[in-house]
Amino acid sequence: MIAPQFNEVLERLDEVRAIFILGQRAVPFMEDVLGFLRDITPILDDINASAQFSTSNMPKAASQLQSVSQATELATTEILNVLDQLFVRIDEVEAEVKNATSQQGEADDADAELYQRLETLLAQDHAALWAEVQAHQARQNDARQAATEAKDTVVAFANQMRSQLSAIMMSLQVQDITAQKLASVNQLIEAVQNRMDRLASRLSGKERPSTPHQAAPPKPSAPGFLPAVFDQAADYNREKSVERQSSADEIINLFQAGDGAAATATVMQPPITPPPSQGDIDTLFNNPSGDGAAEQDDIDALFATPQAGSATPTVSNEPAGQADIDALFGGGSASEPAGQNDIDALFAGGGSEPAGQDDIDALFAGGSVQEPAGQDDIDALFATPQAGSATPTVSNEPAGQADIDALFGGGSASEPAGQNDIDALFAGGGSKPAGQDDIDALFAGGSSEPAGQDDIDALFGNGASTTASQDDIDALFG
Amino acid sequence: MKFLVVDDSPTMRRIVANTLKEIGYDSGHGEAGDGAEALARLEAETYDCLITDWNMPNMNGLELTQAVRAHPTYANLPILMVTTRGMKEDVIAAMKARVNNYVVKPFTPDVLRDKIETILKYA
Repeated sequence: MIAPQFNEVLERLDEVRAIFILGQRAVPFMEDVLGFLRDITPILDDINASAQFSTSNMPKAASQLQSVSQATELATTEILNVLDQLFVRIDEVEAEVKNATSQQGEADDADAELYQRLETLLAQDHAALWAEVQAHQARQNDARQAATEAKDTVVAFANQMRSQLSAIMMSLQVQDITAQKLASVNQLIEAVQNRMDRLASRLSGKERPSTPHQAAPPKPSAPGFLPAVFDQAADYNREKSVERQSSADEIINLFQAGDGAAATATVMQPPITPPPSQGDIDTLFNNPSGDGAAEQDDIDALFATPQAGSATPTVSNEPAGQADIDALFGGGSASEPAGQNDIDALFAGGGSEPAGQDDIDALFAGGSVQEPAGQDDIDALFATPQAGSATPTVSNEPAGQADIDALFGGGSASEPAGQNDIDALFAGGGSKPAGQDDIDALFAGGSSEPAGQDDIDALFGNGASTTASQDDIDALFG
Repeated sequence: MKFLVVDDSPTMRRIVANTLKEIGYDSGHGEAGDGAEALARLEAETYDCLITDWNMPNMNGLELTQAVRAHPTYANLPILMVTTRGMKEDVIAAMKARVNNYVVKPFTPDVLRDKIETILKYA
């Protein structure tokens, strides 16, 4: 062998050595990446299952709200029918009393005339008989007095009944206000369902047909339907109503005095926003960059309360708290904490059973109720692998936004994680959003079958049927 | 006094109508489920006062008020807005649209009577 050939062999050997060195340096990184992928696959499956579970149950919740609205409308109509009958009956009783009083008056006049004539005839010549007639007249007067008192009692009772029935009738305004609240919640559910649909579609890699309500026209306003147009701030609160009426009266007085400008000046914000549309809800969730991903600020903004005199919620620097959640469940009233009923209503999807641990477990465990969900599950979701270990370590600290950002942002928590991060992770920087196919392709080598535990075992277990273990990983890298 | 009660909730229409009767305005009234239907009623019959909700499909109470005020025949029809919307901005918008008075739901018969009497006084 001549020298140039030796040199070429040596160069090749150097190249091979460099490749081995590079491989050795890359092993820990590859180990981390594979560990991360192994951990994130079941998590993505869980998220996908949770999204599908939530999406499939939301129409039930919406339907349940429709049923509630229908039931209250029917019940209110029945109560109004009964009230109408009672009002008519009270009118009849009052008319009868009035008629009886009139007849009694006529009879009294006739009696008075008769007694006058009897007095003329009997008083002087038939004193004993006249005394008897007078005694009879006294008894009759007593009976007349009792009848008059009874009549007054009936009239007073009828008035009281009318007043109380009227109070019941006025209380039925709650049906209209409740229907508006339910319609508001229904719209929120539909918006969340759209979001969950999109999330499930992205995770499964399959386009789902758009839900019917996305393109559906406004629902007709008829018994059994939630109102198509509603006031989100509708509130059945007598005290608040009195305050608002008083405030309205002040403005009306200013306008009637020709000083509408002064009334307008009392309000800082521009008047009236149109009824919310799907676009408004999307805007509500979207961050200003328009990339569609909601951020913690967006959630906080959702819970922010309007300042006095302002129709626009102001985002405070404080994160949403328990009071905000209570207000969400308590119909704007933060005075009553959210209760089990509120949670049951959220999870029950039409069922009459209270929400239980199973519901929560199912939410976190993708339908599996074998193992109860705990804080660990949540923390484990966000826990990052320690250096040199393929297994994520659960920290004692609860998961936060920083964990999510760090997970997707390559350790940098300065920039919030977005869809792009996920896409970049799976699609190698491609412009196509990451989907189930990407995960399948990663594990199944392009096969059309979804990736499963077998694929992971095959990857680590060299085709053996045993489950992949730490030894397998070591063997792969070592 | 003949009233036209406009509300998309049949329950509210009945409550308003019954309250009118209770406070002494018992000479009959008309009903409509939205602003567009109300305009059709106004074309067909004469009313002395319009009581309207704000949030309704097709044509809301504010649009109805603006349409009535722009109409040559019944531009001066007294209008009472009865609504759940109780923010100052709402009241100002309604007054700018030239409703005669404003009632916040849930209301009482006394408030309704007071507002109707005020309307009739200034009408």
